[in-house]
Amino acid sequence: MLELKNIHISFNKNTDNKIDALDNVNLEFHEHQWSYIIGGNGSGKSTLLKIINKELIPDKGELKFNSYKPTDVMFIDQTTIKNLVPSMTIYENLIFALKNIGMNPNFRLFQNKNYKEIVIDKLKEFNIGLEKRINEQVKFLSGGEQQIIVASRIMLSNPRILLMDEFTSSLDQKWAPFILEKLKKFITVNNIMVIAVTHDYSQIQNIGDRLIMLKNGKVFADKKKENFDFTTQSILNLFYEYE
Amino acid sequence: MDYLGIIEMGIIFSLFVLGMILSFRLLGFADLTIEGSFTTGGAIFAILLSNGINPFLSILISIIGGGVAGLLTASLHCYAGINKLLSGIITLTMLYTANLRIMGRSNIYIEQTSVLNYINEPWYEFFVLLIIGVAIFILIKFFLSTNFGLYLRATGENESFVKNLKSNPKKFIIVGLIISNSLIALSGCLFAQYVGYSDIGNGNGMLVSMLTAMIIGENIVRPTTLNRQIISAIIGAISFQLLYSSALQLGLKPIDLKIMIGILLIAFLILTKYGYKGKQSKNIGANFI
Amino acid sequence: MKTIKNLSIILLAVFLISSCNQKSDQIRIGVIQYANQSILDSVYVGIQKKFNEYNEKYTIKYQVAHGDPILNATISKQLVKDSVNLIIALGTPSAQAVTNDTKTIPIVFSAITDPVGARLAATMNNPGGNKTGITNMQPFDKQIELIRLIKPNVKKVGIIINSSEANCVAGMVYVRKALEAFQIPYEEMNASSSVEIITSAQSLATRCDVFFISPSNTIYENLGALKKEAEKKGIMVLGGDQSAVLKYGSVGTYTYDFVEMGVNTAELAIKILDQKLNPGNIAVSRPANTYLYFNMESAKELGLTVPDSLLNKAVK
Repeated sequence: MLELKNIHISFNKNTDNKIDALDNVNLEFHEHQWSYIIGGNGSGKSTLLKIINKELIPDKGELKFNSYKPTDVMFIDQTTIKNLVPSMTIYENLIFALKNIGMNPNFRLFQNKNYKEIVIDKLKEFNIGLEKRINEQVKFLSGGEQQIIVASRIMLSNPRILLMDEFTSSLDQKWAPFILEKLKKFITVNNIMVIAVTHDYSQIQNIGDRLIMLKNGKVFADKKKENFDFTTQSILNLFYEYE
Repeated sequence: MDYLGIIEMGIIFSLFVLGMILSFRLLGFADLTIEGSFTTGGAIFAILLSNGINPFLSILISIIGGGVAGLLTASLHCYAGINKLLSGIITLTMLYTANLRIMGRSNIYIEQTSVLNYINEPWYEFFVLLIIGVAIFILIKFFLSTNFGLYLRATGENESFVKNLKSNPKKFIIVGLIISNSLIALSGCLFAQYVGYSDIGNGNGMLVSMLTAMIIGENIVRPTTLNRQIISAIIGAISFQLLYSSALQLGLKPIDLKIMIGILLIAFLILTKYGYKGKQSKNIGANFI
Repeated sequence: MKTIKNLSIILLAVFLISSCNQKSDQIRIGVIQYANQSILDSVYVGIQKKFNEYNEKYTIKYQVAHGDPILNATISKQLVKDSVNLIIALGTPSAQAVTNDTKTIPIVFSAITDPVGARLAATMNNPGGNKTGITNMQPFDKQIELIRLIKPNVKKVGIIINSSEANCVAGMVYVRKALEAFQIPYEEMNASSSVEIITSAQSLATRCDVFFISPSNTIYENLGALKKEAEKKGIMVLGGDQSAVLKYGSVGTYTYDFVEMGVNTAELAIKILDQKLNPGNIAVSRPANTYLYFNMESAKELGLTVPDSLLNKAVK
């Protein structure tokens, strides 16, 4: 369980432009839960993710997670290519994931067969032939194919907490449902905690377990799938309440 | 033409270009310290040798000296927050004084008992250089093939990626610059032994010359993979020496050699850009040059 | 594939180039100069002058390395590979490179201030090996003596030096000896750029009444600025070479004629070739003639009188 207690952080503290990015936020996240964070511009969504990622330190409050190692948290950036090293091959990009789970694909001079097989098997799951192209540089793949590589990286890394900053909403139209379905299955099987920021409300219905809406740095709404209808219309209604 | 001399100097400078590739291409760090570390390698070796220290030990200490220079530049950037170019320039400036102080004068003659001259046969010198060259290249290839090397390359291309992996990019920049400047100091040390003296001006013009060598190498062997990038160092350095010697053989006056180098550089750079035809470059590594 | 194509083009070019060979029955002399500096350039003028008298008997190949160490090494090796009959080297790194690259081709170095320190000669009398030459260590003792003769009540001499120049460091040893011999107090400051020279001059100007020109190339390149600072405080500038006195207002100096030094160098080379001498046995020499120069205008401006006995010896 991840606990955020009384989190408060402001920017531009000593100026007239002081903004309270997050104000007295109290939240609990559980494994096996896919939470979506929504809200208007500047409501604190990205800031919240950065605090969980330990990129920012809150001014007040604390973050609690039992036996938390930094490598337990995986952060996925909005821009796909930022989650990859462009001129490295597919295989090299995925090695980072393997390292994360304690494997040691060192001495690649000798091209360790086992690790290559693991990577190939994972790519095969997507059924589009990427496993045959593992020595191609990632920058030459199409947008959708790059997103599949990122998804593969997520799955091979097996993080305890997955943070996604608008990744799901920036997915290629063609590939979005496919990738999301695979990710959701993976998350469920492996008990991973997902906290995703999005502006694409259509996904939330199929995949989200929980919806958190932020307004001006405060938690405005916190709805669970069991208690709330995750259709786009009802979400939009929330926004009207918001005003 | 002195082919043996060309290959020998090619080997010596291939170490320099390899160091440049490590910092400029793989780390994406335009490290201007290199003219200074080159001279430092020769300076430390010369002063130690003239004080009776064993030549092998002297080479080792010269390498460490280069490493210290690299450490300084990296620290200035990582811990003092100074930008990459400026960090290199600051260290370079300080190295000028350091090198003079190390030698105690601006020029030291190197005795015949240095490593390259133990046995006074021409084949011995070539043999030693070949062994050193091959050994270093294997070591560096090995180093870059490890996970550390992988992370180092990632740092050069996408620092935030490395940070997101909860790794500290500073670590890689520091080690990378230490190794690249050590390589360059080794190159300087071997060069000083090869020409028989260490002079405060030994590093002059090296940046542009070796940059030209690197780019020539990359045009002959497009560095689309790590192996090719490493090989381009040797090919580039030897081709550069060939060019120099050929030009002189053809009767080109040295005064015109510099402009020839400039024209060559421009030509190869344009060739590189046209090779892409608007597509993305297939080369690995940073392409700000 | 592209790589192999590229490589083969280069190899072909190299093969074609290397088949350009110059064979000649003339006596070939390779002149290698490290960089363009006024002294070295003047020496070469003298060398050329002397060889021109011989009407095609000698072929001179003149190459300047422009301060580039790789070029220096390449030129040196090329000369050795071409088996020239004799090498003339101007500038310490060039002399060192050729000394290292050949133990058989006779080498004559010139305008080297400290041949022993640079290990170009074992001793001045017996350089050893296949090399000898002419040193341009200035007659500092005579220059310092001039200070005493023209300005007997000198209080302190200010000297700007550049410790990164071997020649300057070597020469200053003699300068200091002379100053101590004549019991003249002095102060040194280090400068390696034009700006530093100006600021050093300004600082020294407050404590000294004479500026002595040290044997540093950087100083020689900035004599105008030095004179300007000196003029502000009525300080006498002394020393330097011919143009320092004639153009830059140094009151006087003893110096060599560097063109003449070049002629001497060529004569030495010719002697070695003609008589098939071993250079190592020939002592390193200083130019025979020193020339006394005065700048009467500068002297007048400072209210100094030059004794007639000296004036008579000077070059007009």
